[in-house]
Amino acid sequence: MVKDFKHIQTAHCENGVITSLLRHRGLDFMNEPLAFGMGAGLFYLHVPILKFNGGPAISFRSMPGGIFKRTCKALNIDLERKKFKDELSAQKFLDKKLEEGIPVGCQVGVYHLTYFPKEYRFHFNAHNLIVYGKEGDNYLISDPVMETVTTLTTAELNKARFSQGMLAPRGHVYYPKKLEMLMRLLLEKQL
Amino acid sequence: MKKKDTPQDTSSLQNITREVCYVKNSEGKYETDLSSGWEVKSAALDNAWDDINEQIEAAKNAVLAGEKSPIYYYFVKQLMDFQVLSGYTKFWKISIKKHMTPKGFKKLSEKKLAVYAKAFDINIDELKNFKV
Repeated sequence: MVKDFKHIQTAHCENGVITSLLRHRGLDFMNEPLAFGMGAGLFYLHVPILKFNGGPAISFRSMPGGIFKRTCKALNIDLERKKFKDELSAQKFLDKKLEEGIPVGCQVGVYHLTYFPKEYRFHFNAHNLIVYGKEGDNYLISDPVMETVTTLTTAELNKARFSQGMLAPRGHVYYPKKLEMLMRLLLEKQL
Repeated sequence: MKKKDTPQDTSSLQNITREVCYVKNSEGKYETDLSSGWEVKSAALDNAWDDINEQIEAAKNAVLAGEKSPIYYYFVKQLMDFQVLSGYTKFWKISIKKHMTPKGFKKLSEKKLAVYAKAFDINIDELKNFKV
């Protein structure tokens, strides 16, 4: 069980997860605009030749995971990531990390998130949320686009983590591993 | 956007959540504000759903007319594309296309029907006895 996890709501899920995870590890200066800037999140793409659902391909976000990668690189943070072949080993790994008290970032498919309004549930596989605990059969979820924390049952979370289609998450989880060097640097600067 | 202009329209987010917006306060500095929804966004979303509902209705009629199999109906209804359904069933796109025709559907074994039922999260009878 993760102690004192604080839910932070943001405008975009990837910024939100990185902000929350790093703040939880003591980087108090972290906030969404900073993560977005460090991760070079500003992006726009319009390809009229490429059609999606009858319209041109438009994107206002860089490749999923990019903001993460660049923010962590800028801060010299080791990010541990893992993908899995099957649901059971993915679930076991998550449970183990939660027992160790580590909040874990998860890539999930939006279609299976039961707490979203039906109108928003498309097969979009690059949504990010944080799992910060488990109570019985319910996982405690901090989804950065939601106003408050929510829960998902084990079956629901497994389904979302193994949703299929473009950018299938395959149980993708991540969390910052080593922050020592960065913390030492910050401490030295403060002294 | 100024803080006083943050849209507070009714939307499908009602009673579920509100969205974070970055707005300028009266001193010209940025801060966050919560929005219950934006009319323009709701209209775009409604428009997309009208299209989808039309497609679902057309799919239903195609199945009832004997042009397509129930697999096609559930495929459309659950907003899937071939990559999604292929991922859940592990069937090839070309096989799925075959199963979407009434002729190909008839030849499906119980085992394969069960795979489809699981992918659509329905029971096998709903797939076999198509009723809407």
